[in-house]
Amino acid sequence: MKVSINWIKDFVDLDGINIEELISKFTMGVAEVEGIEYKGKDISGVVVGKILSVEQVPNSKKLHLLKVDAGDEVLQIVCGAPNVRVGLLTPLAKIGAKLGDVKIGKAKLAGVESYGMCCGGDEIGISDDHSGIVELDEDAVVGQDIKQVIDMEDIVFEIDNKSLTNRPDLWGHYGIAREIAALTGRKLKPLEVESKENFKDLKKINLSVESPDCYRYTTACMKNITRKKSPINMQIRLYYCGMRGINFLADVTNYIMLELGQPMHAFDGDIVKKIEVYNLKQDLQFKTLDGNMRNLQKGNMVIATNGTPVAIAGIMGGEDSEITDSTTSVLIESANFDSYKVRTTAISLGMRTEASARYEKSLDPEMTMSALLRYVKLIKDADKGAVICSEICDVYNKKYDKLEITITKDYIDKYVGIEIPEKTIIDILTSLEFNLLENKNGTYKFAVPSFRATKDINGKADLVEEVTRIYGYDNITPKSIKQIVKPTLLDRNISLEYDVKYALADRFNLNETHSYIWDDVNCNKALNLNPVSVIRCVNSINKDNNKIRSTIIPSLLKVIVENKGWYNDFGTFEIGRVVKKIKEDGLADETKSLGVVIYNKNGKIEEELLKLKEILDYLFSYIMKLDLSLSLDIPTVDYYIQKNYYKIFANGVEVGDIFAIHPLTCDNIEENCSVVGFEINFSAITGLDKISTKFEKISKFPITKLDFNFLIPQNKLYKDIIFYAKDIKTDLVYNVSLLDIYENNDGAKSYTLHYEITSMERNLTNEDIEQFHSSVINKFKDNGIELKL
Amino acid sequence: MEKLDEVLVRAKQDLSCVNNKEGLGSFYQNYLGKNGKVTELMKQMKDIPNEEKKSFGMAINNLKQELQSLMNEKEKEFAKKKIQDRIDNTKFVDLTIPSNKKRGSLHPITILQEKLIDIFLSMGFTVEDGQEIETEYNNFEAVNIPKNHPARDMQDTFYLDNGQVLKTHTSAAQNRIMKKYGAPLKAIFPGRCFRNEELDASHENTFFQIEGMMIDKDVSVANLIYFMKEMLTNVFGKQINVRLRPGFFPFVEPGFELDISCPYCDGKGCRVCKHSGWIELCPCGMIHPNVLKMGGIDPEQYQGFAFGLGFSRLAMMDFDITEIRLLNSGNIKALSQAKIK
Repeated sequence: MKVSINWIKDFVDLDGINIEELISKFTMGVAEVEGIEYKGKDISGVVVGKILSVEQVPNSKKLHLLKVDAGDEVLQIVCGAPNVRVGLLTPLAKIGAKLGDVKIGKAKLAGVESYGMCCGGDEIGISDDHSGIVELDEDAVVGQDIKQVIDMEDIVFEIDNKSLTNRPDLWGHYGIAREIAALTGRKLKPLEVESKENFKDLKKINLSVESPDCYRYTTACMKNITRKKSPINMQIRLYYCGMRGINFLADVTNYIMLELGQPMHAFDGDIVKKIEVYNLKQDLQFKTLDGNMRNLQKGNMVIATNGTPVAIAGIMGGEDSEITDSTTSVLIESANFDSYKVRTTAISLGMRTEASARYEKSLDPEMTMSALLRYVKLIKDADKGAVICSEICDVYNKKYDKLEITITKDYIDKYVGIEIPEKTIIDILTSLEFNLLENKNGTYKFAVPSFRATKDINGKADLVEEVTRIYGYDNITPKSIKQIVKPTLLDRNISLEYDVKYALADRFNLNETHSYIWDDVNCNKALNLNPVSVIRCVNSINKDNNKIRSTIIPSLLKVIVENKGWYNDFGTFEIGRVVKKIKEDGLADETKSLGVVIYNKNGKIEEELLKLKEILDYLFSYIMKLDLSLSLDIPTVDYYIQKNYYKIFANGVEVGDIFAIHPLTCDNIEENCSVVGFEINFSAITGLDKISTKFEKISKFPITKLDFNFLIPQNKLYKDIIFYAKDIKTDLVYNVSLLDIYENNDGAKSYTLHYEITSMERNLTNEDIEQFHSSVINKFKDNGIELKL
Repeated sequence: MEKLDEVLVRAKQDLSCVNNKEGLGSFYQNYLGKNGKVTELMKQMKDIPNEEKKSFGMAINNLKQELQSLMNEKEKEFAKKKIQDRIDNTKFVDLTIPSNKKRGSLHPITILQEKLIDIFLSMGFTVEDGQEIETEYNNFEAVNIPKNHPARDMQDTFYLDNGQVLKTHTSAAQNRIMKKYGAPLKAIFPGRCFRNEELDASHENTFFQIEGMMIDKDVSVANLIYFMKEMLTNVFGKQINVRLRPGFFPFVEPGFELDISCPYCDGKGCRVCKHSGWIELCPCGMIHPNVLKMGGIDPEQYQGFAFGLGFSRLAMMDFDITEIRLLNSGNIKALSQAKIK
């Protein structure tokens, strides 16, 4: 919202106050100011000129040759405006005048010399009108500097509308002026309005309010209005605040809206003589005053006369009843509507207007009366012939509950953390028109003013805000807390995530990336991936990205695609969220998933898989401290190869899988490349118990080393072999490990198992060793495995 | 006696020609070995008259000792030379060449999050993990944004087909955490948030925030300012000033916009702070009594502050990233510039 300092000065005396400092104080105490404009500052050398004569310039259809009285001299001016006429008073830019970046000099137009320029509204920055020159009021003094005649010098600051969403009272200058009065400690002047006395004993307007969404409707009529254009200073204020002059009666409604925040509507009094407010019982088409046909729906609230809608309540009036040049009488609407009703209707019609933007903030219903009286006063001030021709008709169906808040000084001091003097507390709240009802030993009872009570102020905390923001947040000294010191430990959930990431990056040369929580449908299509998705966005702007992912691997494959141009051999990882299923209560079962994918342009899948195994071994034994086991399985998706597909188990619980990407998909990334990876349900991991390290007693007797060479059948995995190797009935085994693997060309495989045996009590004898030897051999023989000879 | 002197002279000559350990071995054999020259002289003892035996013996011993000490010296010389040779044989190494161990990279967000977590832990905050998919209740109602509240328009929300939403702010976890711990409470919860809007250089539909809450019997605005100032001073590694401005957020009352003195120009005014000396950093405020109540905490007994730090933006400032889209781009070439720790 744009705020004119001139306008504010109507209500608060700002003499002796530095405006820049005031505006920064406003930002610090009320709402964010986004920018300041200095209006009229770049205009100089423009005076009031009076046109003495008008002649056509020869050889030109549009140009006129004028003699213009500039007060101290009469100048010859060439002018193209169509509204030139003898006697017209207009801004005259003399030679040497500055209009923004333009400097006026002597010019030759169509061969005729011109010693200055008559100005249009856009040229001196007071409107965007370029259709003719400005027509000044007849009482302007010829030769006087234009800035002394019209209020074109002003400072206008713009407030971020978002910071006003909870402040219905700040959508007009009067409310802003109240804040400025509180900030500066000055008095807010009362609003000048028409006396209610002047509406007595006149005709009544037939007003029926059926809709429950209309809280209050206040109306009156005026006639004999002859003025067509609003006073120039009113037009300038409207323009500086972002609106455009239309005609006198409509401009005043906008003026009141910008002044008080109360939207108003002026109906042509000859067309609208009675008012009905109701919610539509069926859909219908309606032409609004911007010339557009609107499809109103059943339930929309309208203003009607004799059963014909003339306005969409709180949003926009209709074309048929709008003010025209021939209008001389007016029916004024000053109403209060339900904020939600206006908001939903505006959204469904796709037309948020200045009026609806204000109504949806929950305006003060008390305001309709003062707005109406203010309107009538402004009309009468500017058009002496205008006459009030009805009583005020006011249907007030829903008032807001009166709100009183009791608060103590202690509460305020405790909440803020500093001590604020009682006088300051009371002065601030009083200046914001909170009414002090009681003050008993530091317990205050305040009545909340109606314009703050519609939704903004609810309780004690709100009063604390009022006091502190005006008192100045800068006056609060930062302070530490008094609290018992307790150790804070980082949850394993979170520390583990970082440790895993750190290991993957630091030790295994992998790069962490972040990806979106939804599947990239196009990328998946290009890569032949068809992951399942169990939950979708219903309103995503991008329709291709509405499936929430159930696996993180496709996201990582996309990263591979996008980076393979840079690297021949690289990997990436992410810990991100996935949804694999919907729980019984209907909520998404969201889990964290750790995905690792490595790419090698010329790699062999077998070798790449072993790299992954090294990563897994490290993560499980050194970082996660969990028991890792793998088990051959069959993948459920067709973009993993069946061969070499394993499920991953942590402490015996299935937590993920390790896989090689199908060549069909690989070839869509890079021909003959190899891509492998693993995915682990990280949420499941963090719930498992860490394997704690217990020190074993080390024997002081020598260790005997024994190697066995076994022929390994094709169907046996190492984990089977090591299981047999450990499953020997003896307490001599200190350690057993795989020393060597030998594979000949026929595919026959043999393992060398390396035993270290010892006793805690004594040196081993030859018999001990022999006995051990044969029990190993027997164990393996029982499982169909023979020594290699 | 004459003979002894000759032997010594010859031995000295021989020893000066010895230049390795083997040579020293044969020198020993030649003089002090079984058939060595000195041993031969010893054998002459029996032919020496008795009265001269004593002095002859002493002379031989002296000779032996002298030869032995000459040999020791030579040995030391060899050992010294060997050490010197090892040094001399070490090749020159150009240590200005960088090592070629390859390291991966962490995402800038991970690096910054770790730093923030460390700072908050040190100030006694526990760290909580939130969800990305939330109920409408937690995301809106529980933080004082009832149905039909215009604030719901301010946040373009992704709605899911099971009625849940992708959380629009980390505040969505407030209710759950209050219910989990009750008061007093001191916690931060970092997390990813989502807004249904078009992407451009400064807008992302997926971004990170860190929410913080502190609730106790006498937590005040003054405490809020203190914690934010200390925390941010540590984040930026230099003294940071903060200021509060009024800001409207339904879940706090009073609500503030917190500005920090620009860490790039120390408040003097630069491109980053648009020459104002201040940067708008994070919304914060005193937790709204309704929010406490819904979290099961009695607002008559307890009060507290909350803040929501947009930490994708903080990461951009920290790493001088100009396009927010980079963070989710998966562009390793660019992202890997962020060094581990």
